[in-house]
Amino acid sequence: MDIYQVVEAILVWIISGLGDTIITPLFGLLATIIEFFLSLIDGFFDLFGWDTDIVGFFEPLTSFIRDFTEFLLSDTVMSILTALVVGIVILVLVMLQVIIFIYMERKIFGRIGDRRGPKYVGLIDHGFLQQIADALKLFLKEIITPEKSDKMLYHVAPVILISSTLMILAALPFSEGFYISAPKGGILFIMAMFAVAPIAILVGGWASNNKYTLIGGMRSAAMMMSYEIPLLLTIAAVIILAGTFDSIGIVQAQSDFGMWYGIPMILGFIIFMICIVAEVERIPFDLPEAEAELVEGWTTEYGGMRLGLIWLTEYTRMYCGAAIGAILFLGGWSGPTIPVPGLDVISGEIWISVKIYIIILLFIWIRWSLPRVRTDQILHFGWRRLLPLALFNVFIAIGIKILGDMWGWF
Amino acid sequence: MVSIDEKRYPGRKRPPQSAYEQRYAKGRRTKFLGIRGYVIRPMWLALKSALRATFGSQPDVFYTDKRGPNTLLYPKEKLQLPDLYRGKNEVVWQCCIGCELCARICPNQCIEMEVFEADRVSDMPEELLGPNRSTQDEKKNQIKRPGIDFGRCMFCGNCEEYCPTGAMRMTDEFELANSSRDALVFEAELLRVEPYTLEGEVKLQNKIREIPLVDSDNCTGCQLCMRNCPTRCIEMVDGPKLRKDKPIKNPKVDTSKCVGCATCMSNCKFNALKMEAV
Repeated sequence: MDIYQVVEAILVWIISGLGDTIITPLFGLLATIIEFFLSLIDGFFDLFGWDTDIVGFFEPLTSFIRDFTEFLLSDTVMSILTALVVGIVILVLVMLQVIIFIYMERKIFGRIGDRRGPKYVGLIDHGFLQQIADALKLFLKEIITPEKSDKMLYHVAPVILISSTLMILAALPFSEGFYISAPKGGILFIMAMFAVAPIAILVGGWASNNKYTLIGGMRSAAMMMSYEIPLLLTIAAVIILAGTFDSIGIVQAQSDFGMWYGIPMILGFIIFMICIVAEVERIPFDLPEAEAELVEGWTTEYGGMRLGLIWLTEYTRMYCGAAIGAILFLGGWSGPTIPVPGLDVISGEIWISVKIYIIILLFIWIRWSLPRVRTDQILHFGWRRLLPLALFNVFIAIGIKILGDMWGWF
Repeated sequence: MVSIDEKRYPGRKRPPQSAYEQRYAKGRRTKFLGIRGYVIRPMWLALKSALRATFGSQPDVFYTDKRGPNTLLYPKEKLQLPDLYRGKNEVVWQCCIGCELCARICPNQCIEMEVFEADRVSDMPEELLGPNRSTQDEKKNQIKRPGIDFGRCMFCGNCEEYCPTGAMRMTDEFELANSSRDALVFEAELLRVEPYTLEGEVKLQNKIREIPLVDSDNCTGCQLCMRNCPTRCIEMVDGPKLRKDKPIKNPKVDTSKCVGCATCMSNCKFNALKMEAV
């Protein structure tokens, strides 16, 4: 589904439909009123014998107001409007799914912990509205800034985290046509935006002026290198095979290859999953937010809806990580077309959603099963196990590429 | 290799290990290490727990492997209580003889006896007649029944255990919470249970295993003990002492009926009675 075409068609339909009935008469009336006042001023000047043509001087403005519908329907304005609406639509869709993930996480955690999970707040006795209730609670809380904190950095750190996370969504395609933008270096941009978060965590932890937050921020900076390099090496292996940095091109290359990259590079897929769990800072690698050791980690001093947004951002990062995993290793949106009228148009989006949800179920399962590792353990694991294995994976990718070129696999 | 025990205590052998020690000495934990012990096994256990909690077939049976989630939706579902659970008391008024043994035995002294006007024997159907003094004796139509302050009660169950007729019982009801302390004071009427059908005659059991002994030096034969005895087990007989050349009447306890409630002792004004363990 090409979302830009669909949204533009809907916008054109709405504006042209409203144009004859509402916009043109309303703006025409506005232009007439302006002309009336302008002619009054003109008459006032006529009293002094000055021959002025104020109405004629403001003619471009009034005609612009009269032709406002045509202005809206012009190509430039329409493309800007469409881009805005597409961004909002994808943002809202992702945020809705994030709310579903939080519900899933709490429910599955409950079942793993031999409990029932959210139960009472909801329409039909299954706690569907628990997240809404929690968000309302967070909204009602007072926003407190610690007295001795670095005020500016304290307020800026969540902004860095949230904005960098939302910028991942700007370059993340969900199918050939369903994206905000699909730049040629999309994967590079996404990984760069992913890597901004430890800076925000370090800044927030330092600015809060609290020993727990500072330790959390330092841990984030310390563990960053150990998982970032193997992660980028596995992505490099995929890019060697696909020959492009473009997300859409990578998925296309997988369907040309005839196989998901996760199957020949199962090693790389496992390394990628481990590193992406560390990247989105979930158990077993949630060192900056170790609840048992540091009170609430680097978010200890944050409260209210700011804390709620930080949590929401973590789940958005989880969603983006799962989407990248699906695109790079599980064939993205490639899959058989669903033979149901209405669903066949969005079958690509449905397939990538299924893959994303499976990866997220895996994330949740891992989170509530495994213990948290120590800082030295993740450093040891990242540098001495994952890095050589990721290099080996790159060799596998080069081998497949060379042999494929020789024997004409693709 | 010589173990530390043998170095320290030469010639002495260690006692054999218990089953618990043996299990942990063999190393149930050391059996699974590495990726199997730290990744695969916990994830498998978590999956098993989640599946059992979700698809458990017997949601109301606990302590089995086939149950549902371990938590109860409390107001809707309630825990199955064991048979001997000690909750709020109830008193079968028809059985109670008003002996005050429960009030005497209570460690927290939370039981108080209340006095009521009782019905006459003639008003009651005969099969409901218990060994109640008020119903047996037409001269005295007062009865005493226990009321309990549950704010002080510790649910030890002594009152139920020592009650000679089994009138005091403990139910499964545990929802006694209230916002005021006064509401926790349950008067005798609130503990009353009726109707109650007696199966034959109520057996009087001396569960505390004490009976009164008479000191004939102090006894004046005033008959207070006989009048107040809830089971009417005291009978006045000629004692060894004389007054105006006549023997003083001393109480004689029928041990087959005495319940050891010490009402006679507390009513005696001359310290002529004291309780002795049988």
